[in-house]
Amino acid sequence: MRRIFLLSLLLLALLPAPARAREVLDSNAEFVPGQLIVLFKTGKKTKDLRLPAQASVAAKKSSGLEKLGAAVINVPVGQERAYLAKLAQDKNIRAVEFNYLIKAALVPNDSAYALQYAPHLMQADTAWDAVNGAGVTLAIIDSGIDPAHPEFSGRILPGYDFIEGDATPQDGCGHGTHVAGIAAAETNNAQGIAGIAWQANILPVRVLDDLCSGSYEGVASALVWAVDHGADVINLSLGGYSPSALLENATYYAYARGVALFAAAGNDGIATTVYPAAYNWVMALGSVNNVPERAGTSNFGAMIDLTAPGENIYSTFPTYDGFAYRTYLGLAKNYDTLSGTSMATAQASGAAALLLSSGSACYSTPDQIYQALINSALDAGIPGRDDEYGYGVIQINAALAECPAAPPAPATFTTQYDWMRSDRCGLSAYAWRDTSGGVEQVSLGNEGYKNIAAPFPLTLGSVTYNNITLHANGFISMGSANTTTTSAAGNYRENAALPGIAKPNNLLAPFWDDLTDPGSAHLYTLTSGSAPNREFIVEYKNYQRAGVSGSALNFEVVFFENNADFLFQYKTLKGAGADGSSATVGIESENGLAGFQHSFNLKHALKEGLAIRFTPYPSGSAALPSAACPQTVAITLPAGTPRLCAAAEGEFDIEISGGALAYATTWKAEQLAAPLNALPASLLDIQRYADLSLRYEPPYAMLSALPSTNVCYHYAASDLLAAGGHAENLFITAYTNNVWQPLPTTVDAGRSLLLANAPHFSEYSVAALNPNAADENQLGMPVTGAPVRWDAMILLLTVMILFIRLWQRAAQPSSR
Amino acid sequence: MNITHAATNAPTPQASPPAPQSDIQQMADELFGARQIRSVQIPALNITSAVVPVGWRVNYQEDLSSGAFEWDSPNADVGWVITSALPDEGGNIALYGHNNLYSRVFERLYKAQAGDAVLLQTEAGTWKYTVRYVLLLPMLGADAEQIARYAAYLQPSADARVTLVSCYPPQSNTHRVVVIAQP
Repeated sequence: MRRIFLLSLLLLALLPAPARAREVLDSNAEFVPGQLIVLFKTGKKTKDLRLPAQASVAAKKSSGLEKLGAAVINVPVGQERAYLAKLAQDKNIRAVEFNYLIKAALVPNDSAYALQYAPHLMQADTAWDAVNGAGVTLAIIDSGIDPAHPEFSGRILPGYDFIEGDATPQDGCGHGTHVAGIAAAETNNAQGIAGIAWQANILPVRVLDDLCSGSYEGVASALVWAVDHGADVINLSLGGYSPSALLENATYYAYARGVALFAAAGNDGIATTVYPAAYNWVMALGSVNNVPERAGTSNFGAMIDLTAPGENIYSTFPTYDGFAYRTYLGLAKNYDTLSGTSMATAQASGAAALLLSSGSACYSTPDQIYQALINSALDAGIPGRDDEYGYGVIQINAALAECPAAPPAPATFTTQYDWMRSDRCGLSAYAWRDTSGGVEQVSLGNEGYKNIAAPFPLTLGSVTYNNITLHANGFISMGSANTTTTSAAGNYRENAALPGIAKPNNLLAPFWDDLTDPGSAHLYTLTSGSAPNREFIVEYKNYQRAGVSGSALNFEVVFFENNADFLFQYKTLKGAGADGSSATVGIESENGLAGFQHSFNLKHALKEGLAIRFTPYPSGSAALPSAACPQTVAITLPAGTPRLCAAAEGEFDIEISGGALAYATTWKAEQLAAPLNALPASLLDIQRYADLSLRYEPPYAMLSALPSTNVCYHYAASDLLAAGGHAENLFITAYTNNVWQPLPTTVDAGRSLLLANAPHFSEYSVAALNPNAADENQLGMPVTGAPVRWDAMILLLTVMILFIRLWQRAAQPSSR
Repeated sequence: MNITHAATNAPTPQASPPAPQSDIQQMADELFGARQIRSVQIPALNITSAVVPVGWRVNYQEDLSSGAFEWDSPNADVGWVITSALPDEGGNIALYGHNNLYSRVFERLYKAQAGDAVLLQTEAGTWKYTVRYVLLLPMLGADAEQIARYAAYLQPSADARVTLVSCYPPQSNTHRVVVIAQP
């Protein structure tokens, strides 16, 4: 008795606590705490990063992320969002994102329904006369596999475990073994079940832990690993609701190397978008039952490509006890039933493996495999493709009769582009082009577009276009392929970092954001000048940022007949977010693999009177066009002249108030879009920075002190808004001895200037004390009254009564 | 806000509340123009008041390393926190008003009940909200963490709501009354 008691205690200690299991299985946590993922710009590496304090590059688990141009950065737990914003400003980084959690896509289900209807419904049984999956490598990126299960005997290749970082992808969840069985359990072995591709080799890669949960980073690493280890088909019975540049790149890495990918649409029964299923190069699988009807829990929407049986699927489970589905859901070992789009995905992966094992040249690219499955699918729901069933339910035997042609590869950039801003470079001057007398382009509609003919051939990335498509959301796509740029439902497509493979592609984006027409917006085009030096101008006038009434945007794109430059110009940028803080500015190639981004959701990126010129230059050229234009032009301050602050709004300058300079001096102010050194959390960062330098060089041996010099900052209304509404709350701060030192600052309200005596010249910024630091100095709640001092009033009353009594007593004798 | 006036060299002591925040009004006009809230009305409590933009001031220590924050006084009006939302954009619209001393505009705010209407007037029209919650937050002895939690009622929210704040009770002001209304 005592012995048994001890044993059960031991078991309890070894097993994860059920409470934690439930917590993780239905966790609302979005991402891995303390981690961010960065994607580098082309040619950049971790060593190029200037990481903010307390951030560090995580130890590398595999070479997968490196191949994707990505790395994991460790940041303080709980401050992931703040660090995301900081890292996004690093010039070497293309995108920063959370390491989102990803989950197995299934519906826990205790049905004992054990009839295997799927092989017949999908025509696998008839296909088996010709093909069996032999010679095909099917990667199962999941929770691992039980290699001892007799259904996989002799067909499991050496895999990898990205949870523990070893070569043993054991299955502590049960999901991976179940999925593997559907796709590839032994058939014709007089036991258990029949897998679809029953002679295929299984490449197990473990990315889901013992509680069936994993991260985007793990899945991305596993994708690269599986491709590099010979996968022909990859099964992804998992998904998350957050888009990710990392997952996008990782799936594309596989697709571009000829691997077919199948992913689950998810099981919440809602119209939504799930990743990686939603990427164009990944087949998104919905689930049907034996009728076949869409399973109520199967997600639907524009992403759905195909459906396959996923309801009540009987398949393999680990042969041992203690896997999560057994411990917490009470499912049987060896075999049991599960439902979900995970199961449907495995059927599709098995189907693809069968097609590949035919050895036919008809299935030599993923696109041909996808097309064969799509062309032959059993149409269900609304005739043709629909959002519930996609193209229909997979029919393997019919797919074997299909022989799709290989599609041509899309064009990419063979030229590079560089961009120059008018406020930093004399080569790109702002000169607004008036479109009056031009053509008004009407009926784009909200979120809409309009295809027009170009007056002369336009070149983007060495491809020439005779048509362009104007989009209401502030970008222009080259050519007339509208379908590459709008979503099926006509909804706004969230602006994204460039380049990105997800659509829209092939574009010029002067202000890609959610824009609307308040009733007064116009889109004009005008061709000016005479051949061969014509200009073609597209002007967006009086557009508004969606939901921000009172905002007004007026910008234009200029095309040139005599060169392949593009000029973006900004005349009016009024209202919240008009500074580019929620917009993408840049250009991108047709396949989305190349692009040149000026800014992405970057505060203060744009301003009125700004021109940005994109100039092509040959690939591999050593000198960038912008190298010819120094970032900032130094100004010579002549001797004998005092200087008044000449800073434009949001910029820094100097003011020499203590008398004239005795000697000529060189002055240089580089206004920075991002700080070289991050401000501490105790300060409210107004996000205005400059690198200032003043070279005051009196002749040798001539002692002459620099007159009192002030750094000045011209504040904008938006700066005041961020700092409580009062200029007195702001101060100028200088980066001194590796810390940001606040400087005693005075306000010149008449000129909207902050002025501070400059201790030396370095990086400058504007800040206020952070009102939301949770200490005794925080802003807290307003005080709207004062306590009434009852104690003082009672004392006063008592004294007065005493006084009156005394007076009465003193007065009494005289009244007698 | 400051309830005792700092010593000044002004020839006559100021008996009236501080001068109106004209600089902040100018800033709000430039950034928000006609989108601003002009008035607030709670018919059930017989409250009608003009609305003015309010922010905060920092009384810095000499070395600027720390300082004391205080909210601007809306004087006789109701203050709209400039970092909060406006009716046309969703999110949290934060308003506060005096309950004694300078004015009594929100003296009866604590009597609000779920279901009472809160009307905000902008140039575009009237925005109607309905009171859902009335909270009394004890401030006496609250530590920094608690105060930060309370202050979160003034921070941006994902849902559209109006948050109205005042002191309570009028005699001792030991609490804050927070009224949350939703469209």
